[in-house]
Amino acid sequence: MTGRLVVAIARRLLREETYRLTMEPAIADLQHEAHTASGVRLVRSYAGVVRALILASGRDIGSDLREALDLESARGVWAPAAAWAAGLSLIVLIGASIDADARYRQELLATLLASVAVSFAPFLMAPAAFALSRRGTGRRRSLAAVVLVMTAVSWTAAFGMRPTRERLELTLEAARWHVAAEDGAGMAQRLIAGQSPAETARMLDGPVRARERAARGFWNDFRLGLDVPLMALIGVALARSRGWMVPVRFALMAGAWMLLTMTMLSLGIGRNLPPAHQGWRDLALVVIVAAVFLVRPSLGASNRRRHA
Amino acid sequence: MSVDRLPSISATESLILDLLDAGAKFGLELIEASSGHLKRGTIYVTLARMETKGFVESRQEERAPAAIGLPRRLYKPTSYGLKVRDAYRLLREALALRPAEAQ
Repeated sequence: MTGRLVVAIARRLLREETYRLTMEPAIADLQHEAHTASGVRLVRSYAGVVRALILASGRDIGSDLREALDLESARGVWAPAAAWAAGLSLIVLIGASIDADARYRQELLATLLASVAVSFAPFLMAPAAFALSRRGTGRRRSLAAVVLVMTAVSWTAAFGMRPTRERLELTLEAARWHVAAEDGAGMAQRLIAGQSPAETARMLDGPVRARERAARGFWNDFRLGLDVPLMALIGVALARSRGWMVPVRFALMAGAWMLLTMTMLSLGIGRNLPPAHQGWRDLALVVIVAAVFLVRPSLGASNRRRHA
Repeated sequence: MSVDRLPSISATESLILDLLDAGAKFGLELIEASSGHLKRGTIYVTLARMETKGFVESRQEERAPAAIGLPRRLYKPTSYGLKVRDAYRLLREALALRPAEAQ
């Protein structure tokens, strides 16, 4: 049958109504034309149908975003998600400030704040995406569209914040060297008179390490964007199989991941991994913990009775 | 008293209504009748939008049970759609007259 592939793709990508009103007549006309047309004309007909699919997808994404950002979503989804993300950020900041050496605590907090500002959007979006998946039926495609667009937004925010965060990371690095030098930790470097700590750190870092640091920062920001759809799609699977208490389960899952990571590091497992691999280690742990939560129904309350 | 939002109609939608006014048509027939003004990629999205706005209505064609492939969709204008088209036509004509009156 002509256009079978387009039908399969369109059915997966589009809402039912959009498929029925837009793609079905387009494909039906293509199939009608296929009996008489050939060569260039048939290729043009296919191209037109593909263009219709792209336009229809864009229309659906626009509708999805309007629904994801309307008043009902703002009250029922984004507000609780923002409270959850703000609480999590506060816990991380308090925990880090308690642990940090008081002599460079200010620089550490400034750097963490910049990182939180960058990561707030994706951490906000993940539980919001889970909760949005509960609205209505057949939302898998629209949720994927929202996740993809918000991933692009979070990447844009991450890359936009990079100059500020890099500057703060250099200041933090220099402050740590200050402390290490004062402690006599074996470092021969000293502040050069007349230079700021950040400039000294940059100079002592050398051009090679500065490039390595910049590349690591870029891939960290990139991976941040990748984490978002992974977390959101795991959350969709959780929401569909475990009922509506998704933020609680997500918090339990995040807590389990943090506990597992800290336990591994304190036992020295994976601590010596190169920086480029540490992100993948974290991602692997997320997948493992999520798989456990998906397989074990006793972890988190099940609300299947509510849906019966 | 609440004020309803005025319906809007684009030049493309107006052209489609003009073509459908002459008789119900399939999407392909609209493209052929438009002498190149309507494009294959955009017409179906436009027709879907017009159907949502209530300017056109459509039905699937009657087919033999043994027919292969998807049934085609036949479009015709609604009285509301024609009314909106006529109202905007009057508005455009009125605005076009104003500079000559001012002279």
